[in-house]
Amino acid sequence: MKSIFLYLKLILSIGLIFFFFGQNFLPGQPVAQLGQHQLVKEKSSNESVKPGPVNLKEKTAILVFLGWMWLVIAILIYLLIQKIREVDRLYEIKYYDVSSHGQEK
Amino acid sequence: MPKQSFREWLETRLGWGQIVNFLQKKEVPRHKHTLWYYTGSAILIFLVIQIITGFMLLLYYKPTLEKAYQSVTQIMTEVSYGWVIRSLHHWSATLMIAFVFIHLLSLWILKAYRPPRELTWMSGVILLFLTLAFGFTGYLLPWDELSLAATKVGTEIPSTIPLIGRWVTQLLRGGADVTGDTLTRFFGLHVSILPLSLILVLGFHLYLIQKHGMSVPLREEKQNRPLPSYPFWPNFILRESVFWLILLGSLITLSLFLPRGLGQPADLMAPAPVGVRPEWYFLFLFQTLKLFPATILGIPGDTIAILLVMVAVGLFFFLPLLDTDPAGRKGKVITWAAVAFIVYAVVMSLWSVL
Amino acid sequence: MKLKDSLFTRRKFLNTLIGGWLTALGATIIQPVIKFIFPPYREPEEVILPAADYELPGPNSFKTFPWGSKPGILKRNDDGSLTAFVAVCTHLDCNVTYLPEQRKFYCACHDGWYDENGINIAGPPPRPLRRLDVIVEGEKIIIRRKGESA
Repeated sequence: MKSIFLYLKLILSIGLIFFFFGQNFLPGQPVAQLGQHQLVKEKSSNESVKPGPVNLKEKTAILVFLGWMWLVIAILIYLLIQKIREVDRLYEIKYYDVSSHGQEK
Repeated sequence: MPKQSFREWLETRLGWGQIVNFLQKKEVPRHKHTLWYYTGSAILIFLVIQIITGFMLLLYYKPTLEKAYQSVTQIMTEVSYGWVIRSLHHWSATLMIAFVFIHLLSLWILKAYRPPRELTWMSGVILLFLTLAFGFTGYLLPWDELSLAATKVGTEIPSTIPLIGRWVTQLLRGGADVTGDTLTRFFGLHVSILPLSLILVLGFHLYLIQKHGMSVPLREEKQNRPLPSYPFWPNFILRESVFWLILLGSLITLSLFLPRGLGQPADLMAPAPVGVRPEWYFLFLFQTLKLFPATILGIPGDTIAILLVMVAVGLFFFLPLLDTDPAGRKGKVITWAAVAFIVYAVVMSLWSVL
Repeated sequence: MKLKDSLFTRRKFLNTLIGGWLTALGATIIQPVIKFIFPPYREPEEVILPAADYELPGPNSFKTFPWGSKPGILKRNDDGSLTAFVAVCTHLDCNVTYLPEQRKFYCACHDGWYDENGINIAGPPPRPLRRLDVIVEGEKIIIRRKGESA
């Protein structure tokens, strides 16, 4: 029983880590942008170094990244709410008073 | 089996079970205003993000007259995700200061500074000024037109204080004018002196909060019945972590959609650019100073303004000692003063923008 | 599967899921952080030297030039052609020097030796010195990364 969850945890963690390291979701800042910056540097606007995505690909990458991030946050919040329900129930039945400490990790 | 025994191995050496035990016994009262307890830890989250992104920016930033602007440009154009990290540092600072204001004002209105928590309030006010000092010194570091002009104005203001004013300005600037020396000075303050001071005062502040527990609003206290509560660990922490996740997501979203830009490089000889304005958290002060006439009864208006601000700061700092009768009429007046201050700050800020 | 003790199982299950998704969030955020920490590597595409400064009249004469943040050595061969090397030892990154009398490159750090063609001949260096392409164009000597001459 215990080992099933251990495996599940391992697979989830390792799988997800590889998934996100392998894929470049956010655009790297290409050195080629330097040239563009020099163009902007000629006094055209008040901001001489324009931050942010430079092309459509980077813009989409940012949107994909944000979409994924909020999805993970939403799932985590859902799980945390479940967890809160559980610990509140444990508190109400005075679980913490009788059990040994350090159980709840 | 090995996992369990490793946990036990650590436990015998560290004894962290005691801390968990202590935190489980620490009760957080539940009432209508429990929500305001979350603002403190929100500040801490942003502080942690500031420290991390600050260390990262330090890898590439060069605090000298010749290199400062160039190195920030390099961070934003060459370094991978450099603009994201700088933008995070900016937005995290903004949100941190916003939460410091919300935290202090909510505690002012809830009167959480009632005995025995006077020193908690005072250390909190010191933390507010340290945070503002972080904002002020950090603003200069990119060394662009606007940051130079804002720093000139900002460091000139203390010079109107009678007797010591000139001396304070020179101390801040490292000379008679804002120069490369000012930049180096502000850098030292921003990355060394202020962080160390902040951690010391913050440690004191958190210790006091641990010692006295969470303050309960007057109205709840008066009802003389035991309030429902839950343990700090894990019930309250879990609730807080939901809030932290939302804050983290919002911070990243803001940083990516509204990235922080960089203006023209600062030129010590150039005239001030149009639209010099401090960061939003100084706007109400900026507007207040603007409104004062040049002279009042022969005294320079600036001097009167700065003295008034200093008196206000003093009153703010000693608020717990002034509010001797929180439940009575005087207490009500002080609560309304908080509301009046909020209205004043918002109106003044909007006025200076529009 | 049969649940023996619903209280503990549910908790373990939740902890597993929370741990897993927290790891996912952490991995998402740490990736840009790690990329940021590694500075962009900027080796020059090419370096242009004024020919007047690098005349190198006799065979076997040499002169150093900056190749990005590393030193380079431009050397006149016996047949009058020019060769350029990145003057950095392939062993542990020390700067090497050319000893014209011995017709060898020498690295003082660990006593590494290369012959006049940059081939490692004695000491610890594992590989020959890196060679760069040299193109003489009138008043300019253009030095490029190997194999990128257009």
